[in-house]
This record gives sequence, C-alpha cells and structure tokens, in this order.
Amino acid sequence: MRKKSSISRWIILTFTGILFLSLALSAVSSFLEIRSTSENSSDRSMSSCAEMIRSFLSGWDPDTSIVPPGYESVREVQKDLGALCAGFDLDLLYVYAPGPGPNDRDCLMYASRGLGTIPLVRRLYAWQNVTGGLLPEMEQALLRGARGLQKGELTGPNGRDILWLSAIRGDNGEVRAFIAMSRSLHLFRKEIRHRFLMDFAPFLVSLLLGLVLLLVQVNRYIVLPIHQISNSMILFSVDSRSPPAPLSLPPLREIAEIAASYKKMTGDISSYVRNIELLTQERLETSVELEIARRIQTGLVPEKITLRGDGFLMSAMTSPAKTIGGDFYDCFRQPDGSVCVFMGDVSGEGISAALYMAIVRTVMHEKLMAGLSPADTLNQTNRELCARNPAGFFVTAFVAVMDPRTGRVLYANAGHTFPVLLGETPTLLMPDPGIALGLFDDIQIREETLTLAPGEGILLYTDGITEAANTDRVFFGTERLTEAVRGASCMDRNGTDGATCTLLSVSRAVHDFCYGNEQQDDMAALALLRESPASPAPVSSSDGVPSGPGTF
Amino acid sequence: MTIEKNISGGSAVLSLTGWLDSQSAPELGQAVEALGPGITSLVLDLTGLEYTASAGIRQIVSAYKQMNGALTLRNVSPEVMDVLNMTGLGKKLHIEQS
Repeated sequence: MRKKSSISRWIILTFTGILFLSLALSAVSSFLEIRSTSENSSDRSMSSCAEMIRSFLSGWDPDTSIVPPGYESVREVQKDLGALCAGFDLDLLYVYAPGPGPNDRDCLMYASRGLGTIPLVRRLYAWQNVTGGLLPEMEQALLRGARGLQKGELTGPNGRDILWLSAIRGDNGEVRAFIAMSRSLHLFRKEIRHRFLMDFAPFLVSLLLGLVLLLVQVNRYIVLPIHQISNSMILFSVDSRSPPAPLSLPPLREIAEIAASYKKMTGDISSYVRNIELLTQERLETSVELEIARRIQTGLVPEKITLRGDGFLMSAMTSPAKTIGGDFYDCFRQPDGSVCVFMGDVSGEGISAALYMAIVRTVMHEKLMAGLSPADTLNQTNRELCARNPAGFFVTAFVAVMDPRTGRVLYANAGHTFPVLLGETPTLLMPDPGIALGLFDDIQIREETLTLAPGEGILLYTDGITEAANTDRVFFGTERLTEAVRGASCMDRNGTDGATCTLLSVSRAVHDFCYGNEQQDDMAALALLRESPASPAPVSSSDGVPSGPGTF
Repeated sequence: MTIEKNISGGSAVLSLTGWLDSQSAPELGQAVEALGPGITSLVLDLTGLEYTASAGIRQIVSAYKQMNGALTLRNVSPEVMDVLNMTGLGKKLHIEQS
C-alpha cells in the first residue's frame, strides 16, 4: 500500500517551498541591483552626483581658501561629501587638479564613505601607479573638450573598481579640476550580500517560528483529536452495542462538530445493533414457532397422502406459498362406508390463514363425521363462521361424498374452484357456484349429485393452481389443467397409482408453465378415483407416495 | 394498484386500476375506511382492474358490509367477474355493466 502523507509533512513541505521561493526572489532582486551598478542608470546618477559636487565647490579658489565658500571648516566639507558618498554608493571621491609634472595630481579634496574623519591634506600624488593608463586617458578625453562623464573599469587590489571622471571647467571651458568618483564592485557586492542577509534573516526566523508554532497547534488541535476519534472508532467496531466512552477533545468548533456527529452516529449504530440483535432473536424464535406450526399443519393436512380402499383411490398434495398456508383438504370414510373428501381455501396466506384453516377444517370434519350431508355441512359451518369472524376471513370449500359401491357422489360447493371430472376426456364440472363461507349468514348452498363409473374420478384443487402465473403474468387456467390430466388417471404404471399420476401431471405442468416465477399462492390438489369394487387392497398409508417433482 | 377517489354528497366512487392482490388489498380497505360515516353508498369502478385475489374479495365484502349493502361494482372485467362468480359473490353484489 502507498504510504500516506501526514498533515505535518504537507505543512513542512509548503513552508520549505515558501522559503525557497522567497530566497530565490530576493537573490534575483539582489542580482539585479548588483547588475544595475554598472549600467547606464548608474551613470546618470553619477552625473547628478558630479553636478552636486560642482555646486558645492562653485566659486572656490583652492589657492586662496582651504574650504569652499559657505563652509567654516574642512570637517564640515568632508561630512557633506561623506554623505554624498553614502548616498551614491561611492567608496571614494576626489577633487583634484593637474599637477606640475605630467603624472602629478594636485589633490584638492577627498572623501570616502568609511573614512570620513581622515583629515584633508592638499598634496601632490603620482597617480599613474594606481590607475595605470586608464586615468590619463579619461583625463585626456576631458581635456580635449569631451562633455559629460567619462567611465572606466580597472582592477585594483580589492577586485574590480568602476571609476567615473567629470571635469570642473572655468569660464572659458578650460579644465580647472577633475572630480573622480570610484566604486568598488567587490565592496558593493559584499554590502548587498550583507544587506540581503540582514533583510532575510528576520524573515527566515519568523518563518521558522511560524512553522514550529503551526506544527504544534495542528498536532494538538487536529492530529491528536483525529487519532483519538480513530482509536475510539476501532474500539467501537469491536463492540458496537454500547456507545464509546466520551472523548476529551480541544474546544474547537470544527472538532466539536465532528465529535458531535461521531457521538450521534455511534449512538444510532449501537441502538440499531441492539435492535438487530433483538430482531434476530425474535426471528429465530418465530422461525422455531413457525416450524412447529408447520408440523402441526402437516399433521392436519399432510403434504402428500395416498389412500386406497375398497372401490376408491385418493391422492392429495399441498404446497404452501409460505411455510404454512390456508389451503386444506381432508379424506376419510363416514360410518356408513361412504368416502368423504373436501377441499378448502382460506382467503389470505401465512399464519393467520393457517390458524383459520385449522378451525374450519375441524368444524367441517366433525359435521361430516356426524353424518351431515355436504350442503348441510357447508351451511352450518357458514353460520358458525359468520358468528365469529372479526378479521373478515372467508373460506371457499367443495365437499364430495362418494358411495364406492354405486359411484354416486353427493357434492356441494361454497364458492370454490370448479372440480375437473377425470376420465377418458377430462371436463370441468359446472356445479352451482354457491357462495364462500364466512361472508353472509343468510346463504343457502345447494346439494347436487353425479355418478362416477369405475376409472372415473374427480379432481379438487385450489385457485393457487389455476391462478399460478408465468413470468408474463398469464394464468395457468382451467384449460391447461384439464389438458394436463388427460389420460393420467388411467396410467397406474411403474407402481404409481392413477390418482398420484394425475397429481404429478398437474404438478409438472404447473411447474413447467411457471418456470422462473416464484410461487405466489398456496396450492393444493386432491384426486378421488372410483375403482372396481373387486380391488381387494386395504387402505394404505402415505408411505407409498413416490418422490420426484411431486410437489407444487 | 392505484385508487382514484370521487365524492359527491353521500356517495363515493373509487376507481381501481391494476392488480388487487394480497399486497395491495389493504390499500382498498384503508380507502373505504377513510370515507367516514358521511358516505352511505359506494361505487367501485373496476374498469381498470385486471385481477383480484381472495384478499381483494375480502375487502370488497367488507366494503359491502360497511355500506350496509349499498355497494355497486361497475364495469367488472371478465377475469374479475369469473372470480366473483366462482366465489358466489356475483349474485350477492350489485353489479353494473355499461
């Protein structure tokens, strides 16, 4: 992983950058200043310097007076000339006249920046030694009548010097004296460097002081609080159930905002975590209870069952959309030997529907066991349901009672899906629709009859099958249902009986039709077949039900 | 499913569109409940209703009871009519086809 930069590192880098930038700028400006000393601008200022000296000395005759007019003492003159030196960055200033010999110079006045107190002594000098041929050349030019300033460079014992020479002329233009102004580049540069350092040092010191102060403050007010919050987060992530211990942070607005948000966030998270733990616990308990409920329901309404008795064969399957559901069926023999089957569908799904289903199924079972006819059973059940139905549930149900000896079937419908008559050509039975139970207490459900020949039967189912939708929201429908069971009841092959075969065909058809779509509603189907009375087989249990795609 | 409400005087019209299944059925229950005691007759316009599940039937019957029988179903589609006939409600409820 790439190493991350820290705030302190960035601050140090920024300060170093500023430092180098200002160093570079100052260096450039110093360099420019040094360069300008040998440039024309310098020449112009030297002209005005010479002009000022000329005005100092105007009307002065060195042979009659030791000081120019208006001055009391030599010291005064030197003071003014020394100030001039300092003002024009000159090291030396001479006023001299040509001497008696070709190399003699008669020094009239002398001043320097650093040596302001040396007494002025008028004397003769042999200049050639010092300036080589340069000075005489410049003098000659002025003597020949050149106007303005003469400029020359020479190399002395202290490095390069620049020399400007100007003439003081008499009334007829004759040269009466020379003004020599000299600047040592070496000294000048040294001074610039000195000035540069003196200017820069305080800036550097304050910059460094500022940097240190800033680092200390940043560390104290930003870096340490961030570390503190980060450590607290790590601890909190280990145990998120209780909010972290309060942090002692510096009283800064921004840090206080972060601390407040952090406190709120951790408070929220720990309450969420506690809620999630509670919910998980509850869900676990619910799922355990739901599993118990499912077992109870499976005890009442087995997911698969096959019964074979004298003259009849019955098979049934259920598949709730959720763990438990509201579809139900029952199959038993009445005391007189008739085979009784019924199927019902409680509106809705889930626990509430399952609870209601258990009641309805028990009520109907008891009435039919007591010998009540299908229609009476439905009518009486309806009245009981209407008397106590706060949730507004309703139940559709279909009851059929078959005498296996004659094949005569008594049936009644309470708003349930129309059964399919099984045989060579399966058709939809069109019973009186009746009306669903639990809605209106003044209904009268009629009883009807039909007769089944051996090999024929009746298929009861819930609307979860006919209204099973595919991904295009098309229902499975009764036509596909009757098509699916065509011929299936007569199969009875590979040890699988006709009733189970019928249900497997339905199951497979629905499964194929709805492939890719989740089951929306509870599904149940029950096939009752009449067999020839000769069949001797006793009632078998559900153990013989084949597995495979036999669930919805 | 969407429910559009139209009230004039003591009667109300609720127009249902979409699928009235177990998820959306409670919305109809709430809409009927919200009508209050001032509304004494209700029309459910089912022109746009494509399907009703048993939960929807429950709400329709509950509305029928709340209105003391003064409930009319208008423009019931064949699919929904099949469900009403199957459960036997077709002959119990007042149905108006235009």
